[in-house]
Amino acid sequence: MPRDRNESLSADIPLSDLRDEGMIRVVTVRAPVCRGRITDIEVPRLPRGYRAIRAEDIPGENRLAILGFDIPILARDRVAYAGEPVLLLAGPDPAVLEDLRSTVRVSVQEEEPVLEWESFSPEQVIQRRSAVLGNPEKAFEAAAEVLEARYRTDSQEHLYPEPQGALAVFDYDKLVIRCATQWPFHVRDCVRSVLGVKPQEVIVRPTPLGIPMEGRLWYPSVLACHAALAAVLCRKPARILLSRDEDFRFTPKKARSLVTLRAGLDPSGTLTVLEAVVVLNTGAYAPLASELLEQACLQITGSLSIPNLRVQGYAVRTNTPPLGAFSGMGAAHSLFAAESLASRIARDREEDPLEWRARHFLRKGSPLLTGERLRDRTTFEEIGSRLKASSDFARKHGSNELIRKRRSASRSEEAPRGIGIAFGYQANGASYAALASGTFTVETTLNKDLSLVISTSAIAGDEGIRSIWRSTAAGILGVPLGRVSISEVDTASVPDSGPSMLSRNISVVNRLIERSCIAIRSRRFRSPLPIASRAVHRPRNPLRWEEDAVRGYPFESLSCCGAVVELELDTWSMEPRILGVWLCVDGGRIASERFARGTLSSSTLAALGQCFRERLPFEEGRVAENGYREYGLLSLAEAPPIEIEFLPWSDTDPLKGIGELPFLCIPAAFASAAAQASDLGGESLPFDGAEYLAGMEAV
Amino acid sequence: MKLDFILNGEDVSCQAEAGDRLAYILRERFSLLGAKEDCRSGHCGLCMVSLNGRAVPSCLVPAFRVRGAEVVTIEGFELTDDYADLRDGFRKAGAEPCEFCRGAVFLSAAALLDERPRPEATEILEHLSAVFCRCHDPSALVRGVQTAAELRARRMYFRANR
Amino acid sequence: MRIDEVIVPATLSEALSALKRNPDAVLCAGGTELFSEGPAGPADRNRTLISLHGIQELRHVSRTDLYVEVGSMTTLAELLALKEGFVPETLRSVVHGIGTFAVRNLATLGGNLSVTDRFRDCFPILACMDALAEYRQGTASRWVNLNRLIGPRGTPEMPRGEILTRIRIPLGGWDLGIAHKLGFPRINSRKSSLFVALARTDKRALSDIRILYACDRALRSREIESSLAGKKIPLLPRDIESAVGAYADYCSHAGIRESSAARFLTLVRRAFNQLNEGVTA
Ligand SMILES: Cc1cc2nc3c(=O)[nH]c(=O)nc-3n(C[C@H](O)[C@H](O)[C@H](O)COP(=O)(O)OP(=O)(O)OC[C@H]3O[C@@H](n4cnc5c(N)ncnc54)[C@H](O)[C@@H]3O)c2cc1C
Ligand code: FES
Ligand code: FES
Repeated sequence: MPRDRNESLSADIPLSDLRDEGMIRVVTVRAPVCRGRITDIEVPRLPRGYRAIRAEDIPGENRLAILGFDIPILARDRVAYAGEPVLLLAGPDPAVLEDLRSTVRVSVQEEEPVLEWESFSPEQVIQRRSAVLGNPEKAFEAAAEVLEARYRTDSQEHLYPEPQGALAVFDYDKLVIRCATQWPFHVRDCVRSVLGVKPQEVIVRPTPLGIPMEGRLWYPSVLACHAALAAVLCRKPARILLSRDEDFRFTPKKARSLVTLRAGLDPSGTLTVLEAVVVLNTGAYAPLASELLEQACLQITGSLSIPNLRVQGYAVRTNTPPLGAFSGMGAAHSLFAAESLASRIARDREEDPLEWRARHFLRKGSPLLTGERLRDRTTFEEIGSRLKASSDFARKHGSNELIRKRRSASRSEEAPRGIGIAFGYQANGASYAALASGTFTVETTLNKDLSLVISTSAIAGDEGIRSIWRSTAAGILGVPLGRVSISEVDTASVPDSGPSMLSRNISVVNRLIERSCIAIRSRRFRSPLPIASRAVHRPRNPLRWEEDAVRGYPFESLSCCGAVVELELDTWSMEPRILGVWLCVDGGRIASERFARGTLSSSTLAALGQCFRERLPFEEGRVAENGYREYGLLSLAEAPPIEIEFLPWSDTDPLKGIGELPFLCIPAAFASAAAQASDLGGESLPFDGAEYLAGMEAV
Repeated sequence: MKLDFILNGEDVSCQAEAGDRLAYILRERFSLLGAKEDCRSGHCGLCMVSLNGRAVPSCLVPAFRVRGAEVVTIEGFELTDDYADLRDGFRKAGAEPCEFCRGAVFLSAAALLDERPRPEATEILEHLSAVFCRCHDPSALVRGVQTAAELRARRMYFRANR
Repeated sequence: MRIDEVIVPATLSEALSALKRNPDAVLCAGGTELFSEGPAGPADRNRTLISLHGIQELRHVSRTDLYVEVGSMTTLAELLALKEGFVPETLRSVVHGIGTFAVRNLATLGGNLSVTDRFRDCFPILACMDALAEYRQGTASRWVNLNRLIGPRGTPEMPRGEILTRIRIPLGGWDLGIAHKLGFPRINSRKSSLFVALARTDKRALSDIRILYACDRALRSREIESSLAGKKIPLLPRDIESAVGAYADYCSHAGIRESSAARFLTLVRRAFNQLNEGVTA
């Protein structure tokens, strides 16, 4: 289909809709087994115009440049998961490529795959962290009661719109990469190093991103390298676009986690000591394992303040596709555990979970794992009392408890109900080790016609963030909102603002916009227009992890949240039906309530999906073909009423990230509601109604 | 095989293989990219078109079924007043779908309004659950469709009473 | 599936003669099952396809006092659009839970009943209702009770080389009408299963009860059902226990997975309880 070639350079067309004159397609031949040594790759005679690309053909380095020191672009000797890219086929006709792909034979001398991870061997550990606060040994000795629990979460698919892919086209003497990425400069640096060319020779212009759920952080770079290799070796524009099935089975997913907690209580039921072992199954490759693990360790107490702590964290390698980042990053795993433990203690002690927590909430001055004291004020108590009022928590919880106790005796046929509450916080501006070496920049320019242009490589997944950036700039400079624009992202013309992950778009990028606009304002009537100003962020004081200790202050600010989930179990299927969700959020100043509500509502649905539906069907280290079609999503038709309340803010309060909050609070609130309804522990997500039903007859 | 059909109101004809799907034909033969080819298995709904007046996932419609049929894609629907109502309704409600989902969301909502001019919230969510996306905000979608329904009813009233 | 030839008959008799000429041809109704194959895998055999979508006579729906007759090409959306009470409510609720509205615009009842790898959602409820299916081949036609399509191992044994043309669904109220999908709603998952229980009472006695559980196969015991017929309602605890026990034996005989059996037994017990509650209410 002949299309205007300028289109392949335009910014708002999705990758799958982009074509370029003479474009060839690229498909991936993948490892047939989970682990082993490649002994032979047999490629049939290829028709004219078709080409096979092997690891040996890579002109530069066969690995991801940033973070991914061990991730090959194409497997050369060894394969680490079933489905790992081994060879590329490039050529004009997708149907011919499909046929060719099925005739390539990859022979692998198979080795026993490593799939066990809950109890792991030392060789599997790719990252390890440990830290101690106070004196846990002594505190355990003094404890009146000690209890243990294990909390598991499963993997989850990001399911962003449009499967991953990349297009590489030539623009004079430059190679232009088009792909949906959260980190354009990562793509550029990886492609550059794989091709062995200078950074200026590669330009990245992202395509629309949608809501990436942290699933487009580094993997787009791998596909960009594939497209770039094909383009350069075949001298034609080249596009790789995974099918939904390939994307579902072979791209990174959320890490699986097991958090083992041992807690000591004093005679009054106060939690005085906690020992935690966090194990993250990060699959074959995990370039962000240290970030996940650190965040999981740092937030191991959830919303609670515990004076004596010992945390050990392990990121563990297995022969499954890469498992790693997902909205909520590492913190979601530990918050689920800590908040579930809090609910369980309250339940065992027959105390109201809110009242028990109120005695433990993190407050300004509470000790943190790093030994520092919390500098921010927290608002958990206020959040709790608002939630209590809006959801009628105490009454519902109390009456469900009564029914639960009676139920075990009489086996009522009524739909059992449960209600649960949990709290959590999102750490804004966490100092990530992976980003510690970079500097991140935003530039703003006030033009002669008084229009303002923001120039950043940060990618806004939705209109909400863009409108926050624009109104921040407009507010500072007194320019009408309509005169503020954000320049198209193009690594040749915008500065590197780092990855758009977590709340960085607010906590870093918006801050930089603010700073650069303030700088313009101070020069406004002294220098002639245009005035351009760059603001640079250097991650200050990255945390220092040592043996059994971590030093530094772990974040810039906190956004606090609480969630209540009410559910009932269908009497026949035992599937949860969510009756209502209440969220109360302290996210500082809320720039646009409408966008904030939208983001929180949609994240709530995704977080609920993770609680009882979305289960990645890994069997023997792989997801079965067409697994996507059996992936149970929570449909809109099942969406519960979601009530969202914001704590009042003033215009001088800072903006903070809030998008992760549902992923941090909802799982534990759900689990404790499910525990109340089912009389099970709620220690493992997703909750499986069918399994629960199967367990009932045996009881 | 040769296919003759009505596409967005025009008589068209093209060549197709027996196993081709409508989604593929629209994109590759007619450069109509509003219907996305995502899951190719009927699950995501992103390839939605109207086939003889009914919204269907076009990845499940084999080419031969299109012979003599009437197909409307989002590109054709965009030229109608019904579309304008939906666009304005969604905009007012702050529920504008993104580029990936736009066609599917609007065609699904239009299918509902054809059947139920004043839909309830549950019906709206039921219908829009045919389109999968992670950024749906249920209450905004409900407001969007209900606002569009109002705009549409008003437009019909004025047309009838002109 | 690779298709090399497509035949689009306009009438049933054309379809029948096309099938006679191509006994290996694949029949296509709504195509939602046939065409949702996801990625194009390596080609198996090239096939001839006979599409039934243009045959108006297969879309006919009619009703007498005793039964409803539904043409096999009636779409699930058309079934739902029939006025309330036209088809039994339990069937309606099952149909409503299949796929999305857009999939139901294509998917047909005949297609749903003809899938061969495992029973789809409409089969268990219609089998329990003793629905009949008309199959045509050449000039011959026959009516088959759907239960006859459950093979000895509980898996589908669909007629080959015949076209399913009509489904006749008996009417007549049920005092207990339960049809529940377990596992994931709205998708076609191997992990889902369906539980159906229908019962009629007559002067405080159970006159007819039918229980079917469809997981990777369909489980139904006529023997246990007849042993329950005539029992006084409400059922006594010991009747319930002995029936559940009989079902447990039946499951272990059938060799189904323990978890499936456990689910089935829980549901059987619930069905009896609900039956009792309905009577006492
Ligand atoms: C997104 C999605 C969700 C789904 N969810 C569900 C679900 O929740 N529950 C469920 O039960 N199913 C589900 N399905 C599966 C399936 O689409 C339905 O079962 C549907 O009813 C099949 O009907 P069809 O007309 O499309 O059949 P087709 O795909 O046309 O045919 C199915 C089979 O029946 C044969 N056949 C068709 N008509 C006849 C006939 N007249 N005589 C003889 N043989 C015939 C065909 O050869 C083929 O083998 C889902 C499918 C999709 C795509
Ligand atoms: S592409 Fe057709 S439904 Fe997903
Ligand atoms: S509206 Fe398109 S991804 Fe949500």
